[in-house]
Amino acid sequence: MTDSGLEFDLTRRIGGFILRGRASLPACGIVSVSGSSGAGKTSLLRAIAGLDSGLSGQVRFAGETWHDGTCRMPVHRRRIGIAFQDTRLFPHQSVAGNLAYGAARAPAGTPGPDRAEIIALLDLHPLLKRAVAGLSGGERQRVSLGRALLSRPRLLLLDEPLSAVDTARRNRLLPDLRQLLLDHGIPALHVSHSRAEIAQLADHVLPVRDGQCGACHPLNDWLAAQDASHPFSLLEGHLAGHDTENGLSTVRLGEASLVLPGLGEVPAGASLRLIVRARDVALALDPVPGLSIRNQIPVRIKGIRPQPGTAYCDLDLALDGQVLTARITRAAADSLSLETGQSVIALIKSATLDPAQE
Amino acid sequence: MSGSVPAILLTLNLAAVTTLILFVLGTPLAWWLANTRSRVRPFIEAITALPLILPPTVIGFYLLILLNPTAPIGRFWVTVTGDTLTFSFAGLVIASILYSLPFMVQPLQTAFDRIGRDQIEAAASLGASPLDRFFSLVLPLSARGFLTAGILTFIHTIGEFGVVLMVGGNIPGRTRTLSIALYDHVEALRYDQAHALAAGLVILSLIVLSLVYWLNRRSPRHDG
Repeated sequence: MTDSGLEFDLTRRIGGFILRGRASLPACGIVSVSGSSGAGKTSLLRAIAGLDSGLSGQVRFAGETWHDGTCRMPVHRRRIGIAFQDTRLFPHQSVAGNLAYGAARAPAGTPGPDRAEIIALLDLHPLLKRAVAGLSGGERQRVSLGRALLSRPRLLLLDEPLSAVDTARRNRLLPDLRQLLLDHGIPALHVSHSRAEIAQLADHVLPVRDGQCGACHPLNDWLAAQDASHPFSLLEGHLAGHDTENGLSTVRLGEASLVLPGLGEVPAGASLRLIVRARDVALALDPVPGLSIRNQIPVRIKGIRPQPGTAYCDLDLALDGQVLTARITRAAADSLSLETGQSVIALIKSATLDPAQE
Repeated sequence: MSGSVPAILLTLNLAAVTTLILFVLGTPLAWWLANTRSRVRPFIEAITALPLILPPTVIGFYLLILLNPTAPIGRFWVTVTGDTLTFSFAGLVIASILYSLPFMVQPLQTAFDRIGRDQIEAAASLGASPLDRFFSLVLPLSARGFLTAGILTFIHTIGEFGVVLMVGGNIPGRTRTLSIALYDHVEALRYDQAHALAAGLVILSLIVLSLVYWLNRRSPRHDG
């Protein structure tokens, strides 16, 4: 199982800065490289792509050697799609010309997403005839991402690909992008410092700190380790529909559904991930009428974990195959006589779920 | 005036051949100079710029030494073609190439410098080989640089005198170029014909230089 994904063990010196990375990544799925600015995230991506010289070590992909000692496969033969943060669109070509550049050079018959699919995903149709010079930063990033996807890459490298795209559009785009990459089996390495973006996109997270590449963690473990004193749960669902009048949307999580604001532009049917902070979840023994809280979801208590040294206890709640964590005070848990296996109602304020709030 | 026609045609022919050959030779040299990190780069740049400051007669003198039929290069040419390099059109072309080299290389190098690595990297990641990148990206992005280099080389070759006189002499229809013909007219006190040629050259140069500056004024910055 180790011969199909990206593997690297590399060292690169850039002046006084030393980048060291060693990892074996899964053959499909999205790995986010996380770290503060200057940690070496972009340098790691460039080293893997083969854009810089002075690299020692090995880079292998799908059983193919990309870099070994001084022997290096030229970048243009690796078939990597790169969405550069600074976009690097070609100024002498229109948007359509830029999109066609990579597509024309993909080997004939290579499977991958087709042009119409990508144009729809990134909403590029209105831009096709425009000159590159007149595009906004966000528009440029969308074109750059589309150009990379259209080159039928075997590996996609995304360097802060949507940093200049507005929040509403980013929220709409990320779940669809994730779905497209999974559908076509395109593995991706994604650099971002936005936790929300990583949560929407990643399967695994590769932390980078001071040029040192850490171990690759599943997204949930990484999110949990980010801030252990503020637990949360990551729920996956589908957008069921919109209540445009009230600016609310319904997200289905199996049998249950949640109502929340801020997803106005996400198309119905899109899959998405929600982060629910444990302290935003309250519990009731029965449905509560006459309450402003819109989300009242039947759940079953899977486990009760008192938090030593604090007044809290965390409860793991089974929600249609997923786990929702609630943090309440021990006193409240005692007064309700909560027990494992008991059916209760989880209460979540819609406003705490607004994805635009992070 | 009709006596000047062969000289004009010869000059245009020489300038065209020189410019074409210099496109082929100057482009890789300019590309190398724009991209290399080699330590010999300043030295090569200096050699390229040398014809700008050396008196043309100095270049002509050394070329005469190098190309005459008793020197190795000159002798080789005679055995291959049966003609000499000195006092021939072929010799003039070689001399003009050296003399006009900086006028081709410097505008190209400036144009290549301005493209930068970013776009090239993007093209490589999209699957373009180095040659493909040159034709699909570098060439269109430096089109104005090529135009400027071609025009300057052409017009500079038209106006050369010293090198031509040293290497080519003054053989009508063979090596008598425009500026040599002008010199002849002046020597023979045919001022009206000298005036026609001189004014023609001034006007042509002015038009061409205006064109170059106009092109460069309109040149956008590619600093994506």
